[in-house]
Amino acid sequence: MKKDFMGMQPTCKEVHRLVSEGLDRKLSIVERVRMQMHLLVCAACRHFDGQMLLIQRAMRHFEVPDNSDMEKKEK
Amino acid sequence: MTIAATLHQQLEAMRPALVRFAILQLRNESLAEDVVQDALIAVLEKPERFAGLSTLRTYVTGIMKYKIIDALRASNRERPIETFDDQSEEDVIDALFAADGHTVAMPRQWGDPDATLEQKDFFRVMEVCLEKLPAKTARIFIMREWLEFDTDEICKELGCSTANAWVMLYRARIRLRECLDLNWFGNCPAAESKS
Repeated sequence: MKKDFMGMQPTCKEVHRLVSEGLDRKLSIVERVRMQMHLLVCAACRHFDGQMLLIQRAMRHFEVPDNSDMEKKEK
Repeated sequence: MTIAATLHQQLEAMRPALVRFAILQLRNESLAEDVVQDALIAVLEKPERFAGLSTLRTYVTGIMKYKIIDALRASNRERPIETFDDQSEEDVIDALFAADGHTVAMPRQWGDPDATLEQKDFFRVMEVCLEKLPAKTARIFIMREWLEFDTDEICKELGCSTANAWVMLYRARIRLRECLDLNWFGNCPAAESKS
């Protein structure tokens, strides 16, 4: 499944996956270079990258929300 | 009312939400109730600990996090978890891309993360989105991003391959992204242009 066409532009599909996996493992230098080069020229993947970072930060800060007012309404 | 009674009342008000969230990770209602009970008792025993450090909610959530980690480690030794394959999930990833590997739709810019994370309501939407994830996907994602286990640790606990874990986490992020985009960030007019 893994195809590394060195010198060829990675697709958004590959870069999206690398953006996500980069949050879970250390990417190889080749992977990082391919991703960064692509991010320079691709707004879609940059936006996706920003979204993923926001989700990661949100989870790190996640506190169980105060739903007491909503639960009162249910009663 | 005494300070202790006020604290007790505040904690009781939080209990249902805490249990609901703990179930997402533990997948067992009575275990979730026990964990929350332990966390609330820990707070009541040392109420001075949180004073001035953080809000009560931050403090309770932090304690519950450690209680959940303990419970996970203890229970997984006794009962192994079934393998991690939520079926028919592949299309979640594939649906984003055209045949040539380009994105089908331009992902929206979500704006300043700090401004988003300051809003309490954002976390309510986030919780609803977490609850909508397939059960196993939610577990592994919360384990990774909230409990901050690394992938090796998750796989050791749950008996999955790391490659499988990365795909599951990727799917979880894509689903969450769609849910947040629709229910939170979608309130801006740009959402109308989405066909």
